[in-house]
Amino acid sequence: MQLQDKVALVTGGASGIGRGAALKFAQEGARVGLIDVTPDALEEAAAEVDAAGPGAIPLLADVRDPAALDAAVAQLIDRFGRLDILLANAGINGVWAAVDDITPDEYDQTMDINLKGSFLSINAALPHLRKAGGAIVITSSVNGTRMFSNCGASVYAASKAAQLALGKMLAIELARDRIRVNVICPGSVRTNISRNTTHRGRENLRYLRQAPAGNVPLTDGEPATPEQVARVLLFLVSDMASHVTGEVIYIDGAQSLLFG
Amino acid sequence: MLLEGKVALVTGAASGIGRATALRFAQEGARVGLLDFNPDTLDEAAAEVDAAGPGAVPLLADVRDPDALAAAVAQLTERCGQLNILFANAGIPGVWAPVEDITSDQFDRLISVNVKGTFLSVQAALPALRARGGSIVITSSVTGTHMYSDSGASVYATTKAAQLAFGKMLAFELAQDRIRVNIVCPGGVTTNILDHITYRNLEKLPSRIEHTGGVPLTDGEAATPDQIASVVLFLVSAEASYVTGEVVVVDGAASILRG
Repeated sequence: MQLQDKVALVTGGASGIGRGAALKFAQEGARVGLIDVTPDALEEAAAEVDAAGPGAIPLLADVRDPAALDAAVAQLIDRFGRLDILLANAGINGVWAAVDDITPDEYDQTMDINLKGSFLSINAALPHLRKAGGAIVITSSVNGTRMFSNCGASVYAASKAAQLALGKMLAIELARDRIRVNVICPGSVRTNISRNTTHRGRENLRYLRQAPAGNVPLTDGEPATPEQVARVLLFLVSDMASHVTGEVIYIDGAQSLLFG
Repeated sequence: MLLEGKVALVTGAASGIGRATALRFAQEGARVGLLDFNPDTLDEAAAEVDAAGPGAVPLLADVRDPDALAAAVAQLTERCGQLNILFANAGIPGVWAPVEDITSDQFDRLISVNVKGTFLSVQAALPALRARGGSIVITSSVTGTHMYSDSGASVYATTKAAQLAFGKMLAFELAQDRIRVNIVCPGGVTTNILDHITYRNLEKLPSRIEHTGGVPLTDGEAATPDQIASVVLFLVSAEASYVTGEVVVVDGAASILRG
């Protein structure tokens, strides 16, 4: 039980990587608050996480809304008394299209959820993390940090690069408060994020790529399971990584060695 | 018990990071072969690791010697029946001096222990690792990969950069054999490696920038060997089953502060 007596907050906790991480944290003894925007999926995820550990609560909030985030954190503290771990994970792929086919509003939506949402989540959690030290992990991506060949994903990639820079800057800034800040960069993961991607006219872009033996060398193309990503997140927020901060961990089965 | 039933080979295992990692592996259920060239400390380390887990074997060998490495691996697999994990960790700091004061022999020695030693250790372990997939971790450093301001460490840094590139190339090459390869880059660690640096004429070099604290996370405290060992344990375990070709810096953010 690596997270006994800890309290964790996971944004984007209703599905995919966030849900897998919330479940893993609970199995390791943490009480968990799950933030998401879809009420039904959130309730279902929170019930599953609750059953797997010492307690979980659904926190309905949009990460673009600072007042909603503050209320969610207040509710979590009220219920569990403390906060040790923040997984700033909520994110969308948004519109993948030629750059001149992306509207300013679509740009804003991707940036607001992925980047500003991380900023606001951290700000909401920080007063409580500061009390006893803690750990923050931000979900970035191979796209925008090591891979730049997913044509059409330019805005998504920009948001992911920005999240990485935010995380590394905060690692230094928050070191004196004994808050470790790390970043994960998953490659392809078996989640529903790609179903929620709006592809528009990408077939007109050149250089859409495919390797003969699949895109992931370690698995002949199989994506990671959310569980495989969750185990890395558990490591980063646990004492096993007590001297690891400002670090970026790629979970991609060597995909980013194959594609730049 | 993250390594139940596994067999690990650790080079440079008689001291520092290697010894702490061998111990950690044993505590997690692995049988461990400890390879080093220093017989006195090797026996002592192997006894400690043996007492902490299901078994440990001291393997006296120089990582520059392919025959000695092959014999060590044969001895380990004969004893334990398999090999799942290689921690290629043996390394020396060598001579830290202005570049014109480093001799060709000193250059060769550093490259052959750190880089060729890694190459030869991987080659020796590979047939056994291929049998059922496995995991390799290589000890590089922040110096030469994330930091370039340690005065006089130019050759040491070169070896560490080379080890990183070698590891990433191997991650790709060995993926089809389901062998994961990752690299750990420690910052300052409380080992005796600093005692083994031969410093020479450093006063001729620009002094590096000293920031308050040096290590932001700990106000300057170096990592303990166990803090590196727990990261290596994570990387070789099934917890990191989708992680390969990855470089993990363990430096309390020191390399963000100082390049």
